[in-house]
Amino acid sequence: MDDDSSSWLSALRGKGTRCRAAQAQLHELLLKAGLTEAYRRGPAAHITGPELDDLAHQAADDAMVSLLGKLDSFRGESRFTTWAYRFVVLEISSKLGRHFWRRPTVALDNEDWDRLPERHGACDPLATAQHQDLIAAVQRAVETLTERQRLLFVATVVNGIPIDAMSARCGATPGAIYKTVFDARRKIRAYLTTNGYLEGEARMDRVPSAQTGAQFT
Amino acid sequence: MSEAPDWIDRILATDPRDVGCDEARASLHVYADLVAAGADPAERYPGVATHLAACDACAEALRGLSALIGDEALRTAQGTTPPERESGRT
Repeated sequence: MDDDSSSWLSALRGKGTRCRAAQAQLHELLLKAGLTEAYRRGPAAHITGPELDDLAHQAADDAMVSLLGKLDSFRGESRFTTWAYRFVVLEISSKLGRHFWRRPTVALDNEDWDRLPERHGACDPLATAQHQDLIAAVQRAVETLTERQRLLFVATVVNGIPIDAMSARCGATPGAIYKTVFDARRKIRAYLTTNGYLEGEARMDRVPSAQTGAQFT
Repeated sequence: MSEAPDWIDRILATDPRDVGCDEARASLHVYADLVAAGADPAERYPGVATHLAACDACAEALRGLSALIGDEALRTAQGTTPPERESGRT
């Protein structure tokens, strides 16, 4: 562990004025980081001005509480300040996810299938028309999913709703949302392959697991 | 059967090395420091690299973290200076 990181840990684990001074210093740092990150991501999230300041303050406060509770888990694999910044960055992501639903135009039941190719990089509008059969096949495949898989696949892939917004909506971790969509993708590909829309075998054995090195929590 | 368009591959991509959001976010600070140091984090964390290529939300978090690490104003701010060491510490 580098000297600066050791110094932070030592002060924050201590008692008295040195600990209080370190906590104040850390909070100041988290707030600066929170403001920087909030203002970086604010425009894309349609948030400006005082609301961004509030978001940054809340993120810094929550990051501080979370960080102090996990101080013993810091093993010096990165600089302490980088580890601390991570708490703020993830708090900002989470809060932007919650804020997403305040936008009046957002609705879960508007399925935007026609824009699916364009949303995922097909630049030529003609491509949409050419691939109507494929879009229809994906829609049929989606009907074979579980209700939760269908909801999350349509929300995140078809409608482009951020994972952190769905995490806030569903009360599940981003990892759990991602895993459900991951499984949905596999089932849709298998359906399309079995029904002759895609080449290859309809393999269902590419399951992320501890054995393959992929782990979801 | 004609070749599948790129967009269908993108929406159905599932790489078994992908560690998912939770594990990627748990190691984001180490990954970001390796990037800042000019190292190749994908070599040490291939599953995280795979995930970051597939997940916009986690890639955005990494961009934010990297920007903070490289932020000159933050780096030189008094707040980044670690508290004074106790006497006797090295």
